[in-house]
Amino acid sequence: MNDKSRYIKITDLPETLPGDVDYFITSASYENRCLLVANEVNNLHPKNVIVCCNMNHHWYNGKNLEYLKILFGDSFSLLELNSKLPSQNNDTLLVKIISIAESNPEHIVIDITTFTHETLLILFRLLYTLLPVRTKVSFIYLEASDYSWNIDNIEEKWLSKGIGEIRSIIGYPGIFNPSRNTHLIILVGFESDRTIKLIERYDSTIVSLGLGIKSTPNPNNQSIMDIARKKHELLVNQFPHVKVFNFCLETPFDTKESIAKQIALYPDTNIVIAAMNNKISTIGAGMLAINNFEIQLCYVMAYQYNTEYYSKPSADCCIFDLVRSV
Amino acid sequence: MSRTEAQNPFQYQTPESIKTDDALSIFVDVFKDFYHVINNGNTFIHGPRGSGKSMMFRIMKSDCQIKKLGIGLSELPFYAIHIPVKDTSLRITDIDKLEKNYGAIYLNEHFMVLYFSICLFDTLAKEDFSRYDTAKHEAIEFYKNVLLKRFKLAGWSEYLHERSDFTSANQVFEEARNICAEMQSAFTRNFIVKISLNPTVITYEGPLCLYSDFLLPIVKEIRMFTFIPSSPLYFMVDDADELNLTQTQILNSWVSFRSTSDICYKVSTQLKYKTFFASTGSKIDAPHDFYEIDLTEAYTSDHKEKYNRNVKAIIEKRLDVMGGLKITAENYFPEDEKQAKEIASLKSTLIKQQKESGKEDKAAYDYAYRYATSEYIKILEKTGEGHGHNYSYAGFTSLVHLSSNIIRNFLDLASKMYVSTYNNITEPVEFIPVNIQNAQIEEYSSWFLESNFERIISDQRLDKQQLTHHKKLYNLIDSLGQAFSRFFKSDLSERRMFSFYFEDEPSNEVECVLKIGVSTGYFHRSSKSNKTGTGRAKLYVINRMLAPLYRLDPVSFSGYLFLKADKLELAMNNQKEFLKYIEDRIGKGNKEQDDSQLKLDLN
Amino acid sequence: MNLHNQFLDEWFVSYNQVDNDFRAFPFNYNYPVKYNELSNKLTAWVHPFVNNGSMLADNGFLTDHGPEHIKTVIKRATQLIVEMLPKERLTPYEVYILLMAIQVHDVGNIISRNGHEDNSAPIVEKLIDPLTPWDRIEWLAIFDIARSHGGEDKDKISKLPEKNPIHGFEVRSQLLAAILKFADELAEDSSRAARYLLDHQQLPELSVIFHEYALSLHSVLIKAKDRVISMHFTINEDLLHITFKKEIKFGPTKEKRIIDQHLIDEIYLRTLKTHYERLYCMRFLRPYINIDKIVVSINVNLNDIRKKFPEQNYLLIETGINDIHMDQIFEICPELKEWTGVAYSEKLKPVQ
Repeated sequence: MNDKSRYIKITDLPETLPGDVDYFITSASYENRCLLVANEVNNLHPKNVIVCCNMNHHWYNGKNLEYLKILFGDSFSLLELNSKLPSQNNDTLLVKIISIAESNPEHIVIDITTFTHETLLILFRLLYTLLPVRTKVSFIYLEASDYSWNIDNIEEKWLSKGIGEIRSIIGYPGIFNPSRNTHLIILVGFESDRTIKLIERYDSTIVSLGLGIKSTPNPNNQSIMDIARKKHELLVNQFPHVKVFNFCLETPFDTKESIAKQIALYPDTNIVIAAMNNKISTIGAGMLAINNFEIQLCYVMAYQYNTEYYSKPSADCCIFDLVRSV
Repeated sequence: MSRTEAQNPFQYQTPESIKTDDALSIFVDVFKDFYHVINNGNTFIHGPRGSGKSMMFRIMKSDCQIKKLGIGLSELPFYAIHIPVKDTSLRITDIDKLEKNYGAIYLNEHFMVLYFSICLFDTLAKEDFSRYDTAKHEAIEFYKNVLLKRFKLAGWSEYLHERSDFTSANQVFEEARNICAEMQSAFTRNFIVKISLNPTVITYEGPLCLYSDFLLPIVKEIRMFTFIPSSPLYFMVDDADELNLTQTQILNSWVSFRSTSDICYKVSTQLKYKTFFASTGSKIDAPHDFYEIDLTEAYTSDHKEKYNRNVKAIIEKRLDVMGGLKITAENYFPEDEKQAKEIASLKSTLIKQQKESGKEDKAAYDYAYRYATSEYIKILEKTGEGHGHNYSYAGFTSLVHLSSNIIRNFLDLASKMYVSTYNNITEPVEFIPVNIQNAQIEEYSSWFLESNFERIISDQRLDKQQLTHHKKLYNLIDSLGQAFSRFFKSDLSERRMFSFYFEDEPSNEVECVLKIGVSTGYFHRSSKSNKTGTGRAKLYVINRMLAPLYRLDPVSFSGYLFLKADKLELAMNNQKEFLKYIEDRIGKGNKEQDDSQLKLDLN
Repeated sequence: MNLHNQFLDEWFVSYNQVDNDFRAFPFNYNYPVKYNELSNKLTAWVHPFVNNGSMLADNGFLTDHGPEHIKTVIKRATQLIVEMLPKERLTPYEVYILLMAIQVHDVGNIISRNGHEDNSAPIVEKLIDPLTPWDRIEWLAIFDIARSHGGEDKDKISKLPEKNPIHGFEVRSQLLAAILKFADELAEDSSRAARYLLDHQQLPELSVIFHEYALSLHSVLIKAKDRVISMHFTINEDLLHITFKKEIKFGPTKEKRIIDQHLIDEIYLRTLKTHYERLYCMRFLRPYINIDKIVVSINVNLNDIRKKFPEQNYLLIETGINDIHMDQIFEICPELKEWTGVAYSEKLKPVQ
């Protein structure tokens, strides 16, 4: 962790965020974590609230969407997305971000916790590219205290099943020179089955499995860290040819550096990154790729998500600002 | 070979990364079964992941062919270029935005032509032309008179710097490859990444390399080289399902052009090929536009022996070359001898019983062959003798059947067995013990299903809104597995089933679920003659890797379960009712009631 | 699109010039003005020199490929599309693409007759206003359509996209290419003939027959509603008593030979060609445009003007097949020549 990002208690959020909030952007999800940051930000009376929601999963997201609608009242506006139509999502977000940029906002707050990795990266790129430089953008991520919380046995915990479509994330197409080897970099999370299938699908000659680490141990989610470490070990045992590296889970700036170092070990390769850990590290991957157009970011859809028991929120959240390199 | 020297003979290696000698040493010649793959003409090769398509392509590359046939490059019967299409190499999401707004066909074609050209020139750049004195001169003439002209016509002239310092033909092809790579990079950097940042249309002012203006004329010239075989080039497009719809249509157009005197397309798919329509509006068809091979179809019941034979050869080769063992596959994967003896004894008992009841010898033996295993499993379940409730699936023959005509399934399972054995003993691994085989089979079979699906509680009727196609697929698989299990343990004459078929038109949703099932490898699709003998019905065979989960015998089965399409829907949506229907049916001797007869409209 | 008795280019140039509403075109750009400027440049600086350029390169003397020919092709195209159903009519953008393709289709002849359909691009590129974005996608579509009217590959149209999305507008490339190709075929009438040079016997010997043919074809009438095209020839008697030198490509090796050809025989061959072009183009014109037959009439002007010679009429139409010959299948599927019955037997014989 460094001074570019910090951890606070969720209840301290209103005091921590500077000044007025012109726009608050969040995602309505089946996870209840999407409500907690919103509750705190609501105390700051944001002028405009944009709630993104995958309407094709309205069955799962609808309840929390309704809550947010009531919570924010007149400042609420819905941005309808569809997890199966990323191109359309890009256009929807593009129009919205352009109109936000034209209003010259001073401060935008974004709760990145429950966006899908794909939508988050699309949004990040548009914010990075289109917003006026003077606009301050604060990203907030709420940690989880447990995943798949209805199951105690670590081996049986699951967040998603199966692997559906793999697609590149719009805006990060990368360059695939077929005369080069492909370096697949996976920021490994909880879902080792999905990771295994991803490795098998790409069949790359070079695979790097990143293990997420925290410099500051947090007893509230130590069990999660242990689970992740164990799953990472199993993967390395199953695929002895993979390379391993560590990446930071607390600040995206360090994540970016870790990935860049790993890439530098294998020059002249096609680079594909799958960010499958927390959203902080996903932003880190986005920061690297946004200025290196030869890097492709990919998104892996699952067949099924553990919508009922996905996660339990913790009391800790991470804040960091959007930094645009010159 | 000592324990430390021996490698895991079943370890999977990406075909692309396998060295020439290694590839040849482990490859078993399947081309005699699939001669259309190596003969002139366009060929589509369908098969699930792991069925050997990429390995075939590896062997077709020039390094393997030269070594295998013992001839020079220019004497080869064909010159093959491998064009791997990974998940996100050509099918990038940004290009989807082109569909409605831009010259989708031209720009996708440009993207594909550059990709194919890089593969072509890279392959040439890595060849050994040392035997050919004129190679350098021919390549330089090609560069000056053909390549530069084509780049200029495509609109790349302002970045071209004509070189004159080539010292070999390889350098010429490297340069060509690098120019194409530059164009690819420029296309991405200057256009693709900008599409998603503009709500309105932007013009494209860059170069355009198209098939008929760029790639085909270049290939025609390459074929004139004296150091390249005079036969057509083979473009081996690997995993063409990973192209987007427009790219698929473009590839089909290229196939439809019938330029097989210059280029033959060898296209592999994983049974998810998006369409056979071309961007020209026409449709390409077998056999006049291409030959079609389904690797799993080729190894169905009529040709099972071919697959068995090939797997045995592959395993024994690997054991010899990589494991240092000269041993038969049957001895390396022994069956459970005790179980085998018990089943043999049961067979004798059944034969005797049948003869005593007045059956002829042949009929008695036939009965015993058909029912011995199912009777044995029934005994195991009732008495808990022998291995408890556990029927053993160990043994080479059983493993071959469990792999369901997909060689990689066999290798994956065998690899796990090897690792497990290695970790359990201190000596070199010389065979896989039965208990380890059984444990790994159980685990693998369970993982095969569970890794993709959350287990649905069987008595829960799922709300339609919650049901996704994948949940329905899981339901269908589980319902059918349990249905086949009930049949297998019944007293019916026809009890060994592993497939189902239907004749009526299923709903779109059922079709969709079945399609997912095929593309994910849970079903294999085939056809059989319909009940009236007037046509063909759609037949779906369940992946035999599921046999251990439902206590079915994967080795011998011959019956098909006939289902109406509405019963398939029932299996997907309400397992409890479906299984009740199956039990009723078993009770009635498997005579399905034709409900449609009751609905005859006399008005 | 309601042509109101105008030719296609007349209609297009005046399209929405009062409303200034150009939403029917990409970028809301004033395409009619764009077309007008380009076509004026081509008319002034390029088309008049097409014949000369070709003469210099190939020593031939083409029938007219200049501005008048362009006008005739546009006229023929108009006649073909005038009866299209309202919902199937060409969109304004398609009209632009078609007109530009017509404008450029023969421009490459300046460089050479051989491969002329491929040579247009460098010439036209020099005429583009540098301030106007050179939109390669659009120009590629235009050139693809233009190029498919000729060349060694006789089946270029089927290689074009059936429906080509360009800047959010769907362009029926195959349809437009077929209109151009057929209109070009039907534009070979007396207006193309170098009458003066013919009369004064100043044409190269091998070109005379082509000009005599063109001169004799005084009318081509396209009756799209009746689904028929009629071609009317009138020949002076004297021309029937002589033969003309003609260069042909003979046999499988396409060896060049010079033969003596009667004008009547040339008419038969050329109208047969028109019939086959109709058959080919109909693949892509249907269901929008339907032409089922070609009616040919040949009149002879006798030297004794008091006498009349009976008019010769014949109908070129697909009929059922009476006789099937082996040669016919090899014409359609040349690859089968290696797989005759004898060849099969030979290839299946066991290796000794």
